[in-house]
Amino acid sequence: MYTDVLIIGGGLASLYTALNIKSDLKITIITKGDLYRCNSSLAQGGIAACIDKEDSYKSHIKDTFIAGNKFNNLQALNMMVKTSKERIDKLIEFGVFFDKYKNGKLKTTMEGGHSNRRILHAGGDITGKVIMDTLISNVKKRSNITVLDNTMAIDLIKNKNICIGAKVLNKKVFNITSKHTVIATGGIGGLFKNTTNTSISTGDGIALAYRAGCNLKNMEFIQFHPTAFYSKEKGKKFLISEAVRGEGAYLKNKFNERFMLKYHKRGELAPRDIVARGIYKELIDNDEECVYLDATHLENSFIKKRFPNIYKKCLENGFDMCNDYIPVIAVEHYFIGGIETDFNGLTNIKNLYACGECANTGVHGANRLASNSLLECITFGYNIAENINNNPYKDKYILDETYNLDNWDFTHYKKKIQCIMDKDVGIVRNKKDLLKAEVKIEDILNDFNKHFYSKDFF
Amino acid sequence: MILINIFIVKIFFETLNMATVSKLIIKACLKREESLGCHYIEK
Ligand SMILES: Cc1cc2nc3c(=O)[nH]c(=O)nc-3n(C[C@H](O)[C@H](O)[C@H](O)COP(=O)(O)OP(=O)(O)OC[C@H]3O[C@@H](n4cnc5c(N)ncnc54)[C@H](O)[C@@H]3O)c2cc1C
Repeated sequence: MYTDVLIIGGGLASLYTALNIKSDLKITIITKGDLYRCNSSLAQGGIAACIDKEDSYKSHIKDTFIAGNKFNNLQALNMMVKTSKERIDKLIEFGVFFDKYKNGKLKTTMEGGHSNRRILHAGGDITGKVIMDTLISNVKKRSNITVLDNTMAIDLIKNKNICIGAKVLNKKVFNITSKHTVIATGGIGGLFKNTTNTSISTGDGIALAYRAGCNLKNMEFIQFHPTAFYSKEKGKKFLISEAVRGEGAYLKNKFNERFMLKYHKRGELAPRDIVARGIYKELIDNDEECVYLDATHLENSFIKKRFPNIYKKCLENGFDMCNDYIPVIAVEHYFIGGIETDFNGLTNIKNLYACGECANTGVHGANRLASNSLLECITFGYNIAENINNNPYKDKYILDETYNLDNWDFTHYKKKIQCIMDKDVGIVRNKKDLLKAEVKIEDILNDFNKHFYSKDFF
Repeated sequence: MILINIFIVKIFFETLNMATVSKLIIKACLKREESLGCHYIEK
């Protein structure tokens, strides 16, 4: 199968890129599940953008730089912040309906690490779903875009240092050759036992890129979200947006103390890593399993209107946010590292781009400021589209082989990896445990190499 | 041999990718010996 542009992944990074590519190019989007199953659809809090007169580029850049421990690529960050309004306008043009006041002004909220109210939101606390639903309906109307659901990229195809597509798997394995290939496969939450991510986030794009010879960057930086709903039941750790703390909720320990003020002057609204470590420390020091989010002092009607989805989910789990403290813990949330790209989203392999959470553009530095990741998806998605629009690439490769596969069982390895990563590569790390984890993971990879994976795998 | 349990093949690649990325993360963690941002290392 041949396409002008192959996009691996179907989240925000993918769809925004696709919709900004010229309509005379044939685009194929492949997704491991369907378009609705991705982290983008789960985003609650919103998307950061400098749109208000009271806000300034300088302040957004400064907040991001501080949260990123001054490790950010300042040029990329400058570009992202300064084009944020245009990128948001384009979302609005596509039909995304952000929450507004009666006078038509866009509503903005506050989140940890931001010094101004600059987070746009939609549907209260279902920003990601509103954006994705709107973009999906745009994609469906575009005759040049084909979406292949339940289709997983398993390796990239290269001709020397040029990427010419990917080997993919749905009911069989086949090649999709392309002029341009964009990896937009999202995060790595699936590597951990406790995560806010969907289970499809297994770092596929990063592994494919690595096998193809891409440079990776900042792989040690993983953000843990301070407030995931705590439950002993598997699969029940849904996110409770930072915006809840942004609107005034407190974090308390079992002694009913607002402990975050001990760790940072911004208290509950300190940067995420500090809040996550504060929670971790409380759990160790007090031998607790969770801490509590207290929103009971906020106006009941405000909670229900501002956080309808979170309110409903907590209620379904037996907690009424208006009256009860919500049990929370810090879990894996966002991957900062990834495939190294330039301003145009290009990797070190020709015609291969990476966008969204799987990419490392440098904008987040050593830690991501809340709500900057959706902005990163659309900023670099747009740049990639522009680069593709302006660089028609002549050669056309057709490689139409298909493969058949053997049948093995190795399902237990997934759980093993998740336990190792949760235990030894979590919020607080040490050299001894990391070395132990390294040996255990190497053993797993050796098993793969020994038993299953070889050049004549197919 | 002709396949075909596609589901199993999918799990195979997902698991291989998970192990590969885990290895790369651990290597990067070991390389950065000082805490920085969300990489926090206890001495
Ligand atoms: C619960 C939650 C809340 C969040 N809230 C916010 C927020 O309020 N603001 C903010 O800025 N950020 C937020 N984030 C982070 C943000 O949502 C993500 O970083 C962003 O959506 C990533 O978009 P993406 O397009 O890169 O990846 P995703 O949206 O995760 O999409 C990845 C896509 O890749 C596909 N895929 C994966 N592997 C393969 C493969 N091998 N072959 C084919 N397809 C594949 C998947 O099927 C999926 O379609 C939140 C994240 C979570 C989990």
